[in-house]
Amino acid sequence: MNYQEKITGALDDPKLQLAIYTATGRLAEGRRKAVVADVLPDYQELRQHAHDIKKHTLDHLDSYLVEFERNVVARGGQVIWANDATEACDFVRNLVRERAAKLVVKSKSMTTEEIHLNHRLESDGVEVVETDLGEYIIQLAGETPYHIIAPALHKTREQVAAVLDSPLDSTAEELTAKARAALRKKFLEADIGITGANFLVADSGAIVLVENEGNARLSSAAPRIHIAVAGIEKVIPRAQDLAVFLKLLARSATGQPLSVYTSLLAGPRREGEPDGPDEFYLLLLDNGRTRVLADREKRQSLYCIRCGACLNHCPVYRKIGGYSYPWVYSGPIGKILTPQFMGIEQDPWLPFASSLCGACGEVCPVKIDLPKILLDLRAEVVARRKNRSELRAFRIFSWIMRHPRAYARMGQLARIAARTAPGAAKMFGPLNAWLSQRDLPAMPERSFRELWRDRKSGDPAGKSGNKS
Amino acid sequence: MTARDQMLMRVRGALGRSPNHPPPEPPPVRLQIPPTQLAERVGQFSSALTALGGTVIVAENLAAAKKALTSLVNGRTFVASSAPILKELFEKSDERISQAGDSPATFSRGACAAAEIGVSSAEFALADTGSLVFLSESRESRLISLLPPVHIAVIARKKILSGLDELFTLVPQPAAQSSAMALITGPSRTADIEMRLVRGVHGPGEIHVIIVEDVTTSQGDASGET
Repeated sequence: MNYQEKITGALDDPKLQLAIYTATGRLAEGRRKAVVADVLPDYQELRQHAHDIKKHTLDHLDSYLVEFERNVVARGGQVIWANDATEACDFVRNLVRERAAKLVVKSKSMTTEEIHLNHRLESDGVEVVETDLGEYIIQLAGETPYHIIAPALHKTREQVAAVLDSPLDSTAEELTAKARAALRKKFLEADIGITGANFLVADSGAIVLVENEGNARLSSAAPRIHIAVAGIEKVIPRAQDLAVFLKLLARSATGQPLSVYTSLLAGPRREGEPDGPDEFYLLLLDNGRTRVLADREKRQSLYCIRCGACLNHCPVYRKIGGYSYPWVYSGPIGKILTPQFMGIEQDPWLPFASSLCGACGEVCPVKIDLPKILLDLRAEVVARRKNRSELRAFRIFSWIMRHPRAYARMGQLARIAARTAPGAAKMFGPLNAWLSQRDLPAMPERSFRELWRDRKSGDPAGKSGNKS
Repeated sequence: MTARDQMLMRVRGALGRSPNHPPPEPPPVRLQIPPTQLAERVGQFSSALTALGGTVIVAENLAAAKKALTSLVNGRTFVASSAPILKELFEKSDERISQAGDSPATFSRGACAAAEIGVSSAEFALADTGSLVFLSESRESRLISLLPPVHIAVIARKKILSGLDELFTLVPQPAAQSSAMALITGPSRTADIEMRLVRGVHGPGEIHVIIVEDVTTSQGDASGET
């Protein structure tokens, strides 16, 4: 299915439209209430500070990666560097084989979606269980996440009940309880837990996991081995910087002042600690990130902390939904990440699927200038175009606008054409898709210039100009 | 060349940087502690946690805390951590907290998975968000506050901090103290099915905090030793 069919499919599905509209609307409203001045008076300063920290860290990323690695090792963990998805998956597959692991529990991670880790492990005969409720539902349904923070946003309660093999009139509570019971067994039996990471803290050698359900805590604490997978852009310099980022992340995502569980994990369990994993591995993934890093202007795309606020505020995402985008990252952030990671020639339409309303940039907690990057990407697409008809059309337009006589002449011709053959514009040319749903406004009998000339010559009724 | 060398080379190439070139100072740390009184913090903490669906009981002393704990446990099975404040509380009087006995502190994964209630203390609490802060040292297990469907925490009043900024001022390097710091803000929750709020997905669906105003022994200290 191409993207146009997917988009049309989403637009033609009233249930889906209502689900997207309600969910994103509620998340956006939650955010609005959580960042207003009486609740968070220094919200704008926090955004700027978060932006500045991300900028500083990414501008000196090599140093922070090395510092982070040194501290993870000092805490008894291991850092694995992976150039691409294959290298990342191969490390996990080898470890699974070496430890003879049969069951892997996973907590939600967009980065592991990016490298199709589940698929690779499953093809080796390993059971991989997603444990975030929304991810569990879509894994059972054989689908992919619909939204960065609400993966099963598009599913109705009846659909979830069918997936969980429950009576169709089950309540959300009953369905959650059923999933809890099934997943509890998996947590206690699992050999390996795999998580993502919201932040990598350089001065601590620690990862930070932010979540509401407790599945990331369980995935990292219950199994004997914990593997965390993170992109290289997730580093921040100091644990103390978390005071800034944690205040922004949950507020922007769901409107909570803090998510229910925030875990800062540094290496395996230590001497004397009652529980925690015996082995800890951190997989650092490039997979295209250094390419984005190389572009000084668009480098800020990597500041993203994956809160999903830009999706919830995007008039395009709110109509076409999460499956209309070609890669794992959807919405405005997907529109700027996908072309930079995959190459702009893959889906050149993406940066144009925007009204440039600017809402995404306004709500971004780390102040990524998304509208500006969308424009830059558009310019790149246009510069690559072989078909220059649009450029030619604008050159002609420009010439006409600079020559008053030509302008008047073209106006006259257009009025005659519109009067004699009103439907002509619908039948040909690049405008026919637009005009299939709309009528051109009726042309006036006489142009403004003609009216102006007549008024100046003292003939406001225009009697002398009747013949035109 | 290893993947590590390749990646670092690409990063440096992208940034135009050379190895062994330390970065300048990062933007200054931004930690602002509001001046609040202890009494005010207790109120803030209570209303924040209550809004999230938790409950808060303020007990005058350890004996009152024990009474409150007994009535919350109400005869159900529980596991407890070996936090000093809990030891003190269990030894406070001859009354038994539940039929199962008062020394369930022997920790095991199986016990956590089977128990109806997990009882712990916490290193700190955060007033503005209603959070509990755990540093997984020998006394506090991760699973006690995670596996049982009900979580009860007993903390000394003076451990309530104003918020995140004060926490990171007091503990600038959590990883130096423990392999795991956890902030717990209310009961486990999800809204993954039709955006409907459901509590108790994987972690506890119920959370109760007993704040002890007067801990007459030294065990109430953040660094308290027994």
